[in-house]
Amino acid sequence: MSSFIDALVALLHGPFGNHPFAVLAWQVLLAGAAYLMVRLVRGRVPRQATAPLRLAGKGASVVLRNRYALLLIGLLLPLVELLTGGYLLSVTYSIELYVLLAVGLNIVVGFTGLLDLGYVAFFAVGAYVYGLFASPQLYEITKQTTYFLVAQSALGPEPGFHISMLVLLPVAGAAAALFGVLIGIPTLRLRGDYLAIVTLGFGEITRIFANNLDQPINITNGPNGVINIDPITIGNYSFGSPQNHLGPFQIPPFLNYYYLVLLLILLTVFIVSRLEHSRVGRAWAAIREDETAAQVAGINTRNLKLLAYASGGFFGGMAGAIYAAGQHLIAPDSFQLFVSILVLCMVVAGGMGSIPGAVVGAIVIGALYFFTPQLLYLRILVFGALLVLLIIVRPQGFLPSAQRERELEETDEDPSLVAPAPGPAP
Amino acid sequence: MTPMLELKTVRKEFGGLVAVNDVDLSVSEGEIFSLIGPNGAGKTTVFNLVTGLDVPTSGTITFSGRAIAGLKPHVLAQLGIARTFQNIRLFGNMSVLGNVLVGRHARLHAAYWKAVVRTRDEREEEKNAREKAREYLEFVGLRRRHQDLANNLPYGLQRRLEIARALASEPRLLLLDEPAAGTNPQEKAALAELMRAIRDRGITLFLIEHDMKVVMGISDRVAVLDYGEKIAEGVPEDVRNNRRVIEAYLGKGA
Amino acid sequence: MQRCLDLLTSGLTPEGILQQLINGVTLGSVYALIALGYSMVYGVLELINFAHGDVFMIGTFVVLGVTGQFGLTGRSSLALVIPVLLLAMIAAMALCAVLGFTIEKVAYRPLRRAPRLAPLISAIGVSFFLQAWIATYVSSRDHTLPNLLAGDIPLYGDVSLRYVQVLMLVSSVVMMVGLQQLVRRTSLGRGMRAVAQDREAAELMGVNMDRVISFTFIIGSALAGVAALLWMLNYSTNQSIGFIAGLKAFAAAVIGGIGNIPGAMLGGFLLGLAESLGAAYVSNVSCGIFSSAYEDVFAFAFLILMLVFRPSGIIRERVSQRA
Repeated sequence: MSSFIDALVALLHGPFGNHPFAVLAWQVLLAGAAYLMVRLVRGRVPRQATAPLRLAGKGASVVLRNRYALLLIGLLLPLVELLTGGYLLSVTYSIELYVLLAVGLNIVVGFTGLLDLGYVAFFAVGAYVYGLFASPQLYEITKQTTYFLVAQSALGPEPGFHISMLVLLPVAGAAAALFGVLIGIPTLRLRGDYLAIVTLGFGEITRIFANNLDQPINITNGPNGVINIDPITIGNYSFGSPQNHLGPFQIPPFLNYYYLVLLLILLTVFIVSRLEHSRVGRAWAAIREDETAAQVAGINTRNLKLLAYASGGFFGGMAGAIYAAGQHLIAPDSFQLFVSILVLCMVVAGGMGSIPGAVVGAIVIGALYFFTPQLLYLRILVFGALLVLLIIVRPQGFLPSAQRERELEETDEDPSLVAPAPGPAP
Repeated sequence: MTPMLELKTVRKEFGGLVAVNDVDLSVSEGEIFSLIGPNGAGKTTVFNLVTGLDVPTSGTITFSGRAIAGLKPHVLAQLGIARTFQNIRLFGNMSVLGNVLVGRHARLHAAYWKAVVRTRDEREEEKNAREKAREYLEFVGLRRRHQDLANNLPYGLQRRLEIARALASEPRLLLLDEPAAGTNPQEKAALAELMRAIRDRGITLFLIEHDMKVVMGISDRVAVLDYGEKIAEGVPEDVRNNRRVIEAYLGKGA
Repeated sequence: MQRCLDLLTSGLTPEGILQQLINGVTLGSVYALIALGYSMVYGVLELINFAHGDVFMIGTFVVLGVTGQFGLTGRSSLALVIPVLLLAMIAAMALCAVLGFTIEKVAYRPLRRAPRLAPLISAIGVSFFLQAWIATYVSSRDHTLPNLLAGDIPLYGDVSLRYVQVLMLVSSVVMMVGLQQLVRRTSLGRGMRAVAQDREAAELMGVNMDRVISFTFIIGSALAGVAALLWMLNYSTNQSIGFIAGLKAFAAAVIGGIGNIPGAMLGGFLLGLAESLGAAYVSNVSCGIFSSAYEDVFAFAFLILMLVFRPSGIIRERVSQRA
């Protein structure tokens, strides 16, 4: 791996020395050469030669569209990774959380067409709800109040709150959903890019508050974040303990969280796809397509937009709570705008408005991001370039919702690919 | 007979511009009522006021005896008012059937959570909605295209789809904004036929139309707007011979 | 309560406020220049060019490079400083223009018929790339220029207007007036206005879309180059300033009414004022509850209120809502 990174660094750096212009000149040369190669190859290669490639693409699409195949991969992947040493497990787990976020954001952006660049706020709200109520953090504040005495007597000898995830998971979701409604109300009249900027602002404001609410009263512990957050415990089984065994095999904590999140993803996808195919989903799509016409058709656009924010927020909040439990600590720095942007890229790259698209988009973009060389800025460099390339090659996303796919196919130059459409009566 | 829809001294100003100037109109139950007038006369604004997209500056609008000025569009849809748009506004990336199902939204009541659990009554309601939607598609002659994307329909069929979507909300009053615009003579005849069929279902029609042949052929009564003012109202024959109407259309001295 | 009053009276001196007003206006003049780039591109393409702030950032590094090449220090004579600054400005304008032109060609043009969000993602990718490129191959630290134009004009009490600030104000106003003339009087400017009004109609009337769009990007980016020079005279830079400066500039563009050149200028000044007054007096006015750590919260809150209540800007009221 490291020799690959070295080679990549050397390739991007070029032979002309350290001066930025020398590097730039080399990179322009490199890009030009690559472009020319593509042009040359594209004209020469006969269609039959690329057939296997296109077939592979189609095959991948079929597999990825098949939810059972996806599920099987999801179930077996960590086991395969364990066989190879298990160091990839934490990355896979991170990508999984992103899948959850992408499916949630897809409700807002993909279904309803509301461009949200502040989705990380929901994740943060969920994380802080669990972080504050399942750690010693609130001990100092609450111990001076009479409420504290009640809480302590009810909750046992340890300082602070230590409420179970079973309670906090829905609470975190609900808090984030409420937050979504609160953000949603003032933005109901906004459309498109303006909405993006406003939501971005709300996301940043949330983070800044988390960063500064250690004064005058210490609620969030400021930039240092909340520490010593409880792992999830069910009965006597602690998800965070490295001492769990299954027969002779030791179960690493990430494996516990991995399967928990997988379960949550299944539940989420189930709920969201049911919503999609109900009158709610149709109303969301109508708002996306033409808000005025949707109103006239009898849709209460205010309520349905708020419902979209709330649903998106709910799943984001749950992801946040699990994240907090898995990490044991949360800090405002984990809730940068960058996370919102990354999740949005996943939704768009996957194909807006399609649940399998959001899942696959999260996996592909997440893999691109987490597996590009972890060399300080080189990672962002490569990631940025790949993002541009990806969206230019496939602007409609990997797995656009079935209807859009059909629409795009019909404009394809090869008519044999198109199923004969039922024509009008002769 | 009490009118179904009644506008009394309704006025709408945009900034300094008076789009609708103290207009009185009344549409009776079961009739086909047409609103005509030169471009920019304020006809579409009247439709926007009746369907809740705009709020009148002054005046009252009553629908079946209930004051409706200022109510939200979706509430009006539930009360039984539906419309189409002059520049067709379909949900382009949804299927034909999907468009009609959205039109049905005002008549569906299952709570949101029921869609997740798929309770028996929710399934029943959805099944019912699909059947109804197919029925309306059949009615406007689009049954065979229900799987197509709305965007991919030819222009004339898009107009029909918009009507089917409006009908799906089971309106008592249907507002059609220039349904015959951009269609050929055969399509116009078929459209007139369709409008009569809609009326025969007991739905009152309120129509904006430029094509005089269509208007005069099917309307029970006609009103004429010019510069936001009502300059004539009556049966088609009278309106056709009204001096002010002729002036409005052809200019003074014609 | 007494403490709050004390905070108010002790903090808010006339001299202090005047100084902050001056600082705010100079900061705003740079925002205004960047805002023009957003405003013009949005007017023509309805796209928030997320990479525009990063073009500005690249400009600041070009200025750094040129002045560094000539070894300018705080003690260099004006006879050297002025030609070098001019050269730096021209270099920054040229490089930014080329960069803006290239970005449009590579990242936006192929997506002109794509779904609406696709160009946004592409813009984000470009923005990441440019930031990371500077951090990887140039520097990831903060940089400032030496104080090149020392000296000031005393105004009132301790308050003074620095030469640098005069230069910033004058040049940004000059640039803005120049742009206004360009858009009003030249045929390309007419094309831009036509495309902004109605893209399809303009194309039917024979306006060359591609040329107009390229031209828009070139002009907007060159102005970002000018802004880069002015910025470097008074502030510091690093690879990530483009994002936040860009966001504020976009806010300025919106406040002034997007697509409106004098509006962008006014918006820039207002935002600069709000920022410097806010940062200086938030604590005094809020009774010490909010520290200056909340500076950005106020900037965002201002932006949000603006977008929610006055989305068409403070100057022009749109007559009818666009359907």
